[in-house]
Amino acid sequence: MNWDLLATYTPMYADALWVVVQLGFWGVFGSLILGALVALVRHWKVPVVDRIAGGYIEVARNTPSMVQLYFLYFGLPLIGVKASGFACAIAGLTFLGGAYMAEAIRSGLEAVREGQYRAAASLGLSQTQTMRLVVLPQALAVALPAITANVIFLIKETSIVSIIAVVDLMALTQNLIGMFYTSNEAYLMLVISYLVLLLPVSIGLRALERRFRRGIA
Amino acid sequence: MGSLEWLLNWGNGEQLLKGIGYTLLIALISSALSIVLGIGFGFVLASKNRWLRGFGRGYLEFVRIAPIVVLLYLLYYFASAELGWNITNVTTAIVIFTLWGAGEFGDIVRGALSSIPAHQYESGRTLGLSNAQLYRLVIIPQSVRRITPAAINLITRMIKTTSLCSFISVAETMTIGRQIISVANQSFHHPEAPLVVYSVVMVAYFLMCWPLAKAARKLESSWG
Repeated sequence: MNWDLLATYTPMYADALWVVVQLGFWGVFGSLILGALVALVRHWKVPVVDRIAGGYIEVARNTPSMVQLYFLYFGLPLIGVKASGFACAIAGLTFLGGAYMAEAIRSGLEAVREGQYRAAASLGLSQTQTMRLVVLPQALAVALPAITANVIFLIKETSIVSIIAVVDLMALTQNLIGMFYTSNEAYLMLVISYLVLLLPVSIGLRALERRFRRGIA
Repeated sequence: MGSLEWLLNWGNGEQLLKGIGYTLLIALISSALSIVLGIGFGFVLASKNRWLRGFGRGYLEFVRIAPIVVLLYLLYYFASAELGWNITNVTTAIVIFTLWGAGEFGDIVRGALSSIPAHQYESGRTLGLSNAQLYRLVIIPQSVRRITPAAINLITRMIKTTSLCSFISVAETMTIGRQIISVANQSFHHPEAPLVVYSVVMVAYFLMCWPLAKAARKLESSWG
């Protein structure tokens, strides 16, 4: 193990880690928005759109994320959309995560019983108020464990974006090994970088879940 | 020459079918091993011993959050470079997928075991059942019903996950698809090659996973 090399590699890994953090953040953000929209469409059974949403969920959940990424990366230019690997990666994560988030949020919405709507209506709450003050807080509490599981799943999925030319931790490691044959150093930095990223995420999500569980108990 | 015609010529179609065979083989072996080991691991997770349970939770947390691609690389590299083991990329893939799958399936088994109310154990004992009888006649039949849909879902997740072993050049569906595209790109005659090939690959994966996912849902609602 060459320790000087580790010092040289550290800023490179910091850059790559930042790429992964951004991917993870925007991927989760996009998934939650898309997931919420799809869940509402399905929950309210909006005609036609409901069917499309159902089809989307099946495709996104039953094909590997790798194929989805390739598809976006090679497919978008053919319909005239120019997108960088990074943008494609976020789009791909959103496409994948949106379906999983939609199922999580929908199960939360379905857990809120009919009586709650009627009680809210009899208290004179408007439909938006009912949604915002009564339904969503309860639905989120039910959906939260599934949502946090999806967040972890999505962060994990960011590790494949090197296939569409995004320089993430995996791509950097492959490059350093390919150019300098410094496998030990590169793999050690890879493991450290992922630990730095995943440990706080894991602990943070666990704490969030505990707080929510106490909140509804 | 039409795209599909080209795809099926030059032995491309045949290669792709072989790739699909590899995908299914790796997925099925890994799933079977995961299910067997996962049942044991489920009892670890449900154990009354605090230390054992703590170890189980730690392991589960680790395999859930560690990116599988990273694990594949690490095992593949360290087994040969540091330990001097001569393990193939296919074995590497099966080992890593099983380590992950057993963790996931263990959690499913734990969920099923803990969903059976305590009074069932008590009534079983009151009726004079031995421990073996209690499990064989009461607990296991109910657990199996709760576990089967999840086991099927694990297989679909495994099929999707096998695409990752193209990172270590296992000749499964993804890798074959990429090879076909790179050959096509060399001739410059088929700019649409990536889209055609990935469409076929996507449909292939969908046809492998979707029926299973559907069957799992059906079982879930009929056995609920």
